[in-house]
Amino acid sequence: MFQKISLFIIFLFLFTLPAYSNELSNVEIHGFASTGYIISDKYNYLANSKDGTFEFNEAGINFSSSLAEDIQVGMQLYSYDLGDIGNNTIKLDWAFIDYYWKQLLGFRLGKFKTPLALYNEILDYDMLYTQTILPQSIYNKYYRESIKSTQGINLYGKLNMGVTGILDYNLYTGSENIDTDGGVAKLFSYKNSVFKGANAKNLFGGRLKWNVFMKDLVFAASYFQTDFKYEIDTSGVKTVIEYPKTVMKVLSAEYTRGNFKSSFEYQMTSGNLISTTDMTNIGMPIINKTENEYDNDMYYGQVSYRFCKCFEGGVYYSVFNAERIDSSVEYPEYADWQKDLAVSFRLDINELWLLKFEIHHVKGIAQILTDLQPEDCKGENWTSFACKTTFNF
Amino acid sequence: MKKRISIVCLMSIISASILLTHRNAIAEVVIIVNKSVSIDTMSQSTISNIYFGNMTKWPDGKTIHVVMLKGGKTHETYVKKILVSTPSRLISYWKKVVFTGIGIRPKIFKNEQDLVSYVSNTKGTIGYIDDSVLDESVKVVTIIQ
Repeated sequence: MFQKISLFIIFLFLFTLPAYSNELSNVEIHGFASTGYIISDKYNYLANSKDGTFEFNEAGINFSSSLAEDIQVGMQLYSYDLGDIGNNTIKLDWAFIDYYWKQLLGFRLGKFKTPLALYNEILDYDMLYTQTILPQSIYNKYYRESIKSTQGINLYGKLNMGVTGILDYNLYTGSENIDTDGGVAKLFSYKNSVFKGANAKNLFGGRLKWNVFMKDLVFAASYFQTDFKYEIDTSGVKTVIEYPKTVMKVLSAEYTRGNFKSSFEYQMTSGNLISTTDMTNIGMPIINKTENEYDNDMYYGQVSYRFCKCFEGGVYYSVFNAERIDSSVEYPEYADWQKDLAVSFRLDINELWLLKFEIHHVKGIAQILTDLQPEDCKGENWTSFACKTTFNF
Repeated sequence: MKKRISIVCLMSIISASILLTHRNAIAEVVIIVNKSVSIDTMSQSTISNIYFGNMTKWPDGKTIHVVMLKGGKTHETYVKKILVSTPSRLISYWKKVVFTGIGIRPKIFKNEQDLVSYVSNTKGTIGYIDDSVLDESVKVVTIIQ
């Protein structure tokens, strides 16, 4: 009930505030709300899309203020719905105090957006990119909650290197709670099992961004490491799955010139998982322990062009390659990859309101296997269509 | 007679075009700062770095406060010629700042006189205006190559 009332208040804020951001005394207020539709022909992609679904929305509102010349505080509330996950539960997205001491060194303390790859910090904000759905090989919406923000400390700064450009760095450490009703829970739940909770306690990483020749060309390298542990319950059988060390490394490049923009990113994810099954609850005091290593690689390339003040188009090609961990189940070969060719259109009705359309032609099903059984695989090629409208102020 | 009228019309059109072109040529965007800022000259890349968040402190360590115009000819000329970018990219950058919480959006003015007045009264501020609205309350920064 509280969540519904809170959600109602957020929407009320968004649609009753004047067209521009508000400044109540010294507090800045900004927000956004979006709603969309996804439909696909063979598989449920991201949401229950085979029959078409409107369960594809998000909203957020933030408040920020300067306490002193170099000190700033702020927070953002965020809610989303994507099929079975999110369900418009309002969560604290970020809240931190920021002290920008010198150009070379600043500190953020609290919950902040995790600086990772080129677009991790903005993946919830439609108005900041051309696509309706960012390339899922790297910006998987189901992993969002495990990488979107970090509770801890962030050191950052910029080094001016003269004619060679600007070096922008971020270092952070902390932890992150994983929701039991979020994307990770959905990914790691199987039929007849209940996701009992998870956390990432020792998380750290960094990103180095080199802005070459003003802002036209950006190279970035990101490192993210975390431990991760979760528990599922299947009819009284408790299974604890630990990822003692999961490492993500991302190399990125972005080129912007006038109305043209292109980017390319390559990510490697590796680690090992230890699965411990405890059957003492069902009278079989056997603890079965298995250990596996995994190694996935993924990449995408995209180009976009703004044809006029209100219309932008783009294309991306995104590839996800998964290493099969459980070889006991015989999935078709195309379950090991997902290659997504997407064509996107964006129409800015005005500075505050936009519409987006996108069509995907996909080969492979590596990222939609959650509830699929081998007999449910209906072929390698499939398509989906997504559209979205977003209001922000 | 008809030929003379045609020549007069043609001359009038050419004269009007020259006048308009001349007017555009003398309409120039100038970079202004609060008088507390010790800088007198800046390179184009420095100005671009300031407006895209890559430079946030003046050489004396004080925070740079950016102000912008909401739109219009001065704004478009400034973004395209000085920042070598587009208005949509600039607004996207500041929306990113706002929604990730890493900063506070600059003050945005609809009116250039209001912008001048704000810059003259706020330490560490940088802005841009058409030189026709320039007055002595602010300092002009010369762009160097």
